[in-house]
This record gives sequence, structure tokens and C-alpha cells, in this order.
Amino acid sequence: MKKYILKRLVISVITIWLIATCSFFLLHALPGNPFATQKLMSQEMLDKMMAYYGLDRPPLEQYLTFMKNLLHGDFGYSLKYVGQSVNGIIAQTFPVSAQLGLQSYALSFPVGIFFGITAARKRGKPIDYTLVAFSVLGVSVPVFILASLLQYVFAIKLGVLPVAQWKSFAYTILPTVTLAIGTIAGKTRTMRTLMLEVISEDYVKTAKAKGLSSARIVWSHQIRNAIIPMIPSLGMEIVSILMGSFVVEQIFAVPGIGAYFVNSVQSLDYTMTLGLTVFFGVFVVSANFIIDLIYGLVDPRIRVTK
Amino acid sequence: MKKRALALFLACGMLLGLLAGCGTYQDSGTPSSPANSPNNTAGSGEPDSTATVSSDFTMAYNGIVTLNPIMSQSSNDVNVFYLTQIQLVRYYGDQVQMDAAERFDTNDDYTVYTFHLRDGLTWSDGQPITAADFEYAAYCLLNPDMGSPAAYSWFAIKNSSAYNSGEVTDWADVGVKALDDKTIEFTLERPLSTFEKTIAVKGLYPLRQDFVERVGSDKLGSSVDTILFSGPYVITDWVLESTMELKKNDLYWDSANSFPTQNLHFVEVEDANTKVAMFENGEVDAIEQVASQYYDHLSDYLYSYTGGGFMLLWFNQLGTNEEAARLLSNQNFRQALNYGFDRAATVAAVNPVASPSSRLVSAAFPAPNGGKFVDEYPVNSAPLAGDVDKAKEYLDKALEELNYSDVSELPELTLITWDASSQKLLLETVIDQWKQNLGINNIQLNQYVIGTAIGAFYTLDYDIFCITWETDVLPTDIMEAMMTGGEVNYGIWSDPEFDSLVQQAVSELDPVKQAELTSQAEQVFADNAAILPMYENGNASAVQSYVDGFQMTAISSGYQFNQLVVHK
Repeated sequence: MKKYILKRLVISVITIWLIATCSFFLLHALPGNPFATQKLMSQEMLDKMMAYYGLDRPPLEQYLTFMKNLLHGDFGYSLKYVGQSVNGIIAQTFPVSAQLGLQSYALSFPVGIFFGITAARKRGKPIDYTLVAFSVLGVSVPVFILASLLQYVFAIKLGVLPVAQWKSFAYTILPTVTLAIGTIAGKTRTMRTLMLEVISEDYVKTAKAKGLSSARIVWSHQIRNAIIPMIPSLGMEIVSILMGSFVVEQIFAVPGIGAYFVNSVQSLDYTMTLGLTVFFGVFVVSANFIIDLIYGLVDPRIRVTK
Repeated sequence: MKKRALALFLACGMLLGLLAGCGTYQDSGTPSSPANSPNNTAGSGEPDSTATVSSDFTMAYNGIVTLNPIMSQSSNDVNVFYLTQIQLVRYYGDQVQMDAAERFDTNDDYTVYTFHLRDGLTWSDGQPITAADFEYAAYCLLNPDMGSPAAYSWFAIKNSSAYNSGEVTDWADVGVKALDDKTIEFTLERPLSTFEKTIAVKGLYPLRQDFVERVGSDKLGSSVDTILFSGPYVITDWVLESTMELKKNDLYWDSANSFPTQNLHFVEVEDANTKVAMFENGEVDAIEQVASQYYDHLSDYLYSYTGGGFMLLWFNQLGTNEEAARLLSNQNFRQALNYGFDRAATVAAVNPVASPSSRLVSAAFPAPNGGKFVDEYPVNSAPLAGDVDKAKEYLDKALEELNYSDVSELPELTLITWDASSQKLLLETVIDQWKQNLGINNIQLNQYVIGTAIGAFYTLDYDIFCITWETDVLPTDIMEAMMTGGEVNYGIWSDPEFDSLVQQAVSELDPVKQAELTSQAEQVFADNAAILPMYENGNASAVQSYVDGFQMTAISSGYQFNQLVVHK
């Protein structure tokens, strides 16, 4: 087991190093200049700015500096947001995105599971059709349309919730629900399918024959078996939850991390893009590392074959 | 099958509901009426006399990048500096007003400007503002170690350019001196009758040396704790890319007579639709920048102005290849493109707050006799509606000179711009007109993300480029940048006559002669058609009818909320 953990750990570190290195060189290979994205500037002035930020040095030298700082967990200073450290910006925006993601997950996970179970148990009945229809719509309607619709109904027509911003709990409701609907729809479909597979299993029939109450059958025999295949996807789900959603954040003016991802690439803010990519990379790799470990614990076959 | 039918039915129902919802949403505004005329104070609806005055004003603003005036590159930042920092003199509307300076005087040949500060000027931490703070600000802007991108704005000052490039190392040789606590003197490189306007537009915001050294110049202005305030407002909270809270600064010298609104709340909302929804829901009192698709919808609330820069087509006469270079170096071909499209119709369709123009002098710029320069000094250039016959003549001449028998033989040209959808619309409209009117099929539009696009502009990796250039106080500023080897011209064209006329105009002190020289330079520029103006930029804000005194202008950036009152 120790050897397995060590091996996974080494692979994880190499992955993160590869992410950082590839992003660094790809980004620096882009044509353009981080200082000329606001307006035109004379070449002389541009050269001065490049020199001021050390961007005129050879790429390899820049790379070594970047790696050295990275080892200290220091992503450096943004080129666009003067005087702002990338670490500071992550510390400021990540909790907001994480809150939005967690809230929406706390809503969507139980509701989705419940919908899925209900649909499966009432298979072929109107409630099943309604839930299936909802899940098809929920998956297929783009989130920006959903967001505008919710804003229109709950903010403009009913006037019960604010259109946008992030000030108090009331402000978080619409973005949370918008983000949750897609997940609920997905979870409903998956859970319904899984439940239907389980419902016809022999052990369920046996349980019925034993005369167990239907609630007991559903809880102890059906749900527990059906829900297992949903666990593997949890790793990536946690990541996407904590990173929030760029689109929802943009529409509801939520001060999360999403906007920086897109803007920093567009404005060629090298340090910011690299910092966020590595931060995100570490997140994905760690989540997978932990899931791998849990797998190894749960199912010894996995660590043997690896 | 049944299930599917049901799902489809539900989907249709929901979509219909959505469309209906959007429909009402779009139409809930009142019928259209003409937008306010430029520079009018918006929200002209008479305030209800019984309404109370609110101490709060909330606006969806264009977020800022830094509070550090030394490193700022964005006019968005300058909008906020107007509220938070004092200046020697500042613009209000199109007038330069005294601010920190009580008065200023110049010597006879306009090479020395002396500003006298008023009594009792105070920083937000209670210490006095002195002339040394203004000198230190100039020092920070020009010191090469500070890396200020705004240094070139101050190169009119004696030895400033040399100091910035390291040729002069002693600050004492630079023409900025605090003579005592209340007097600051600027010595200029050459005579300039408009230096106070340069100060008002470029913004020489005071900086206190001990404070800057304490927080570190690299951290300056990165948060509300790392900058001192000296203007009508102080910022109490600022979340990057999100919100900003401002509170009236009672220490500001004129606080009793100006800036009546106590608290300003700015919020950055990226989504255009959300901004409008917030406006209609009363969550914001104004939107700084309304997307053009909402102009009709919000027509009763629009506050618009034109100016601040031109949208231009730049022809790279060095070309991306030899054949392209040969074609673009042909003046008749460039004129064919110049005359071959309808600026008025294009702009009306694409960007209604902009104003079509084939000139290089802003329509807002005054002539020496008080009229508008563009009226007093007409220029012979392409008419706004275009002139297809003339364009065809130019094209035929060009083909003959270059030995092409037909337009289909012309080499491929790339037109590069950044990736905004408005740019796509604009340029596809223009390219299509060239196709319809002249049969020109060889121009290919490429859009890159802004950083990459501007990169191509500098490395001359384009045949034709489309981007705006901001105008400054004087039309000669933009002309200087376009001269041979100027800020935005490293070899794409050169005309000695233009260069010499611009230089003469810049150093001319007599306003009438200066205007004549400027006009002659503009004519040479138009004849060359090396860079084509398409329109003057515009901006439209939306302001609720209960707000009075909302003001922003094209001449100078800044939230000019000096008389802003919210009747709510």
C-alpha cells in the first residue's frame, strides 16, 4: 500500500510539473504583448515595460525564475492588475466560487437523487414522464438562457430576489439555483437508470419475498447498490464545483475566480494565467489522487493491477 | 415514443414561454424618442419637487485595474481618479477649472508655467498637500525605474524624455520644480500654449513621497490601504473586478459646494443583459456603458456623447508580402477603398452612438474663432456616403498603374482586428460594400484576441488593421503619433510634407496660424489615404430619470459628478 501511494504521488507531482512547463512555453509562444491590450502604445514604451517586468530576458531564464517561485508556492504578480499578487487574487475569489459551487451541490445532489429514485419507482406514470422531461430540458437548455429566465421571473416580474451581485444570502439564491438545475437534471437521469437496473435484481425480489417493507427495500437494497457507480465521478465533480461556473458568475456578477481565467488569457497576463492553470491543475491532480487512494482502499484489485 | 412526444411538447412549451418572456422584457420600455444631444446633462425629466434627495448613487461601472496613477493604462482608472484625487486644474464639461491651483501664470513665450496652490489642501490622512507632492508625482511618472507607461504623456516638459530614457540622470535638470510649499513651476521643452489642458487631461495627481516609500511603489494603489486620497471622495472598499464604495471627502477644499451625493456605489457587471435587467429593476441608478443592442430599448434614459478617439483602418505599405506591399503602396488603390464604402450608413447600422467621419480632427474640437474646427476648416476627402463612381475611377487607375487587367487578379490582403463581435459586424459590412461596389474580393478578415491582435499591429504582421486610437487635447497629438517613426507608425507610410506641417503646427503659438497649419496637414493626410478614419467613437450611458447632473465627456475622462443629485 505504501508503495502504491508513493507511486501515485510521484506521478501526481510529474503531472503538475508537466502542466506548469507546457503552459509556460505555450503561453510565451503566443504572439502579442501583455502591456498593449488596453490601448496602443509606442514601441519604445513597450520595450521599457517588457524590461521592467523582466520579460525581455531569455525564456529559459524566465522559466527557471518561474519554477523557483512556484516551489515556494508563489505565483508572482499579475501583469495587468498592477501590484496585485496572483496568490492574493486566488485567495479573494476562490472562496466565492467555492461557496457558489458548494451551495449548488448541496441543493442538486439530494434533489437529483430523490428525483431519480422517484422517477424509477413510478416508472411509466405521469410523474416519471414529468421528471424525465425536466431532466432532458435541464440538461439541454443553456445556462445563460436559464439564468435570464430566472432573473426575469424572480427579480423583474415577482420582485422577490435581486437580479445580480453578491452581497447577502438572498443574492446567492438565483445563481445557486441556475447552477444546480443542470446538475439536478443530470443526476435525475443517472439515478433513474441505475435504480431501474437494480430494481429487477434477484436480491430485490428476495427481499420482497421475505416480506420487507417497501421503504426498507428501497433504502437498504436498492439505493445503496444503485448509488455506488456514482462515486467515481465525484473527483471531477468536486473540482468543477469548487471552481464554480464562469458563465453563471458572469451573468450574476459574482466576484468569483471564473472571470480571471478567461480575461487573463485574453490580456496575455502570463503570470495570472500560469498561476490559475497550476492552481487548477493541482486541484484536479489532488482530487484524482485522493479518489485513487480511496479506490485502492475500497477495492484491492485496483492497486494489484496497477 | 409517447415519452418523447411529451418531452418535446414540454420543451416547446418552455421555449415558447421563454420567448414570450424575452419579448415582454425587451419591450417593457417606453416608446423610442431621440437620444439626448451630446454633452447634455441626462435625466432631464423634471424632478418631483416632493421627492427627497438620496445620499446614495449606484452605478454599473467599467471596472478599474489599479488606483496607482503611475502604472495606470486605462481611461476607466482615470474616471475614478477624477473623484478620488485632486489635480492642479481639471476639466468640467469642456472647461478647464482651477482645482488644487488657485491660479497659474505663464511667461510670454509659453515655456514656463507656474501654478499657485490654494491654502488648506489636505490629504485624506490629514496632512497638508504641498507643491512637493506634485513634483514627486512627476518624478515617479518620469523615473525610468518606475516603469510608468504614461511617461510619454509628459515629454513636453524640459529634459523629461531624456531623463526617462536615462540620458539625463539628475532630476534637478528636469523642468519640474516645487519653488516652495505652494508654488510649482514647469519649464517646457518648447513653447506650448495649451499645457494646462495637458495637465487637466493627463492628470498629474499628487503623490506623497513618505507614503509611497512606506507602501512600496510596486504595491502602490493595489488596494484602498496603499493609496492616499486627495479628491472629492475617498474609497472605503474596493474589490477587484467587482465593487467599489466611495464616501464624500469633507477634507476636499470645495466639498461644501460640489459633489452633493454622499455615497457612490460602483458595481462591475460584465453581462450586458444583466446590467439592463438591474437598471429596470431599480438596482442601479445608472449604467456607464450600454451595449448597442439596448439603445432602442433604453432610448429614454440614454446619455450619449461622441469623441475621444477614432476607429481607423491602417494600411501597412510594407505589406505581409511583396505583392501586397506593392498594392497597398498605391495611393489610388487606397483611395478606391476610401471612397468605396458608405460611412454614414455603416455607422448607423453598426454603432449608432458613433459619428461617421473621414477626418482626423474631432468634431468637438473648437476653432480659434469659437466655431467648430471641422466646419471652419473643411477638408477635401471621401464624402460620408461614399462615392462609388469616384472609387471606380481610382480603382481603374490603380489597376492600370500596377498592370492588373482585372480586380480578380489582386493579391490576397488580410484585414486584422480584435475579436469583438461589433468589430466583426463593422468590418464585414465594409468588406461587403467593397465587394458590391468595386468587385474587390481579395480582402480576408481575421480576428484575434486583443493581446494577439495588437501584437500583430506592432510586428507589422498585417496588410490592413482596424483599431481605435484615442485623441488627446489637440488634433496635432494624433497627427504627431502618425508622423514618420511616430508612436503608431514604424514604417507603414511616410510623407515629408505631412511631417513638416505637423511639426510647424505643434510649435506655432498663434492659434489662427496653428489651425491653418493643422488643416493643411489634415489635407495632406486625407490625400495620402494611408490611414482611413471611419468614425469617431461614442459612448452611451443609461441614467434613471430621477438622477440629475450625471456628466461624462469625450474631451477628458472622469466621472464628472460635481452636481450629481439623486431624487429618490
